[in-house]
Amino acid sequence: MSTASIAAPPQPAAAPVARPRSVRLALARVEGRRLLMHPLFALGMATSIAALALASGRLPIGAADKTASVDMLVGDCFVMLGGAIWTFLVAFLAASRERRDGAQDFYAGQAVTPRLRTEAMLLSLGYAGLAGAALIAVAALVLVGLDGALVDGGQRYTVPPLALAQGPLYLVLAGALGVLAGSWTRHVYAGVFLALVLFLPPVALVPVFVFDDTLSPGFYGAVYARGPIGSLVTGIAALVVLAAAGALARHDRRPRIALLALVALGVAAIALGLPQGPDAGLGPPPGTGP
Amino acid sequence: MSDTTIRMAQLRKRYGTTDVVAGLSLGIGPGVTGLLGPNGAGKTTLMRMLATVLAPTDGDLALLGRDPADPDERTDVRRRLGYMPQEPGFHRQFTAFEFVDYVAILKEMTDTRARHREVRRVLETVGLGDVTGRRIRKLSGGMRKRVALAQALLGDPQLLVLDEPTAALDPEQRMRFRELASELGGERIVLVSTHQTEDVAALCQRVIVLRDGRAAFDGTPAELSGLARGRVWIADGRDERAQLWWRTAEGRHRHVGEPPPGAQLVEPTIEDGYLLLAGPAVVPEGLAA
Repeated sequence: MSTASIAAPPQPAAAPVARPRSVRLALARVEGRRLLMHPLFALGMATSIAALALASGRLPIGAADKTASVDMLVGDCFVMLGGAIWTFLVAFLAASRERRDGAQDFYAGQAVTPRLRTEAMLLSLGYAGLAGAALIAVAALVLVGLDGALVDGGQRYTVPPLALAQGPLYLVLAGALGVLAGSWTRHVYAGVFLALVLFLPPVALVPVFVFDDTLSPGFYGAVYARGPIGSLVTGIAALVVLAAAGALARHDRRPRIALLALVALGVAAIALGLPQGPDAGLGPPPGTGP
Repeated sequence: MSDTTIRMAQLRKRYGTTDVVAGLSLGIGPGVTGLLGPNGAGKTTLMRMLATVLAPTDGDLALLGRDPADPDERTDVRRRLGYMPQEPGFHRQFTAFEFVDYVAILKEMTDTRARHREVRRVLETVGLGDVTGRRIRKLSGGMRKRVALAQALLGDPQLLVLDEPTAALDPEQRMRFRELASELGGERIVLVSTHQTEDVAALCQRVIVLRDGRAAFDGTPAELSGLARGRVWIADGRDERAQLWWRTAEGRHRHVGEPPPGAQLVEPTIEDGYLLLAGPAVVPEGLAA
């Protein structure tokens, strides 16, 4: 501490501004960067990349059936499972940070409200979604190519573009569930327990509708959805909104949050409950052939 | 519009059946005001109410001319407030820069370049310009205190509420904190809660002593030490008639209370005045007569 700097403190360079939207975005940027830079998130993405390499047959061990591996990796986004677990935990840690570190007093004296901080935390999950999108894009390019078609065993297959959205959305859902859990509990053991229950066997509550497991059906949970890909993506998005509403409800008891949750629940139930329609994964489009 | 005062009338905070703050009526203007009192006197509770963290149970409170009970006015106060809690609750995985930068966003500074400039300014002001990239968990207790002080200085607040800012600081850092606080106290309200009577003597224009949630004294540091004038004496042995006594480094006994005839009176300090006012509750058991 230099005496000179104390004796004549310079005038402040920044004047506070009070625009919730810009504050929300600034906070979301900081939180998003922290999420991307978090070692656990890096570990999760590394797990996903390793799974990609293994299951695509790029390594000496792993899947041999090309269409099945593409179906699983790109269409059904099994590759995102590792990333999702750790995204959940990182988001949980960020959302519970205030109470874990005993900083409630400190935050309570700030102009920015807890509601706005939660909104920013949820917005920051877009960074996780972008990271997932980048991974899926690379996987799709490597496995399928630019034309989005795969020829295997004399058969031409296409990857539904919408199916590619599942993986990134799945990461966002995992993060939103992390924010939801972290908003209501500060205990790390509770976060770890929830990560196991949500994502891993034998319970694995979350992957059941995402993971259209054609190789070992039923391994991840008793129920799994096989509906139109549009319904699956809509269902996942609705669950993201539901989790976000649950997180916001911690500090925002307005009726609109409850209404949002109800609508999201209804949409998720309808979208994920659709048993009809084609398989969400790869399939030979009508009229195509060798 | 620029009311630079704190006004409280019959301010009360009750927990269960206990009044932790029991009907305080005070006005505080620009300058450095020290808040002294034994543990449990209500200092931190009062500081939390002044920092808009805690709502009073009863009474009137106006901060910078605004009513903190009104959500909009409370937010307006917070924009002009720098608050350093007793236990800031650091995020230890953040670097010093990241932490202060995060707080700067919470203070609604959204322009990245200007915000970073402001963060560097406050960190340099508290002498942490060379450790901005170090994680908080690797900083010493004194450095963490300075990080907490740095975030309170963001945005040049009109009202600074500092709860035990000199705890864990070494003597040199305390001296420099005094310089900084006295510099800041020119046009702003700087409210410092402390157990360090020397800090109050050195930097406060005004001192308020709390006891049992009430203001037991409100005046200048000189007036506080003046309370003990003619009531502090030195003797070779312990005098049972003294209200308080302790053995000095020279092996003699310093007494506070009603002196016996012919006692060797000495010049009182602010600590003597405070001890006389606050009574045995503030000294360790065994030292009180």
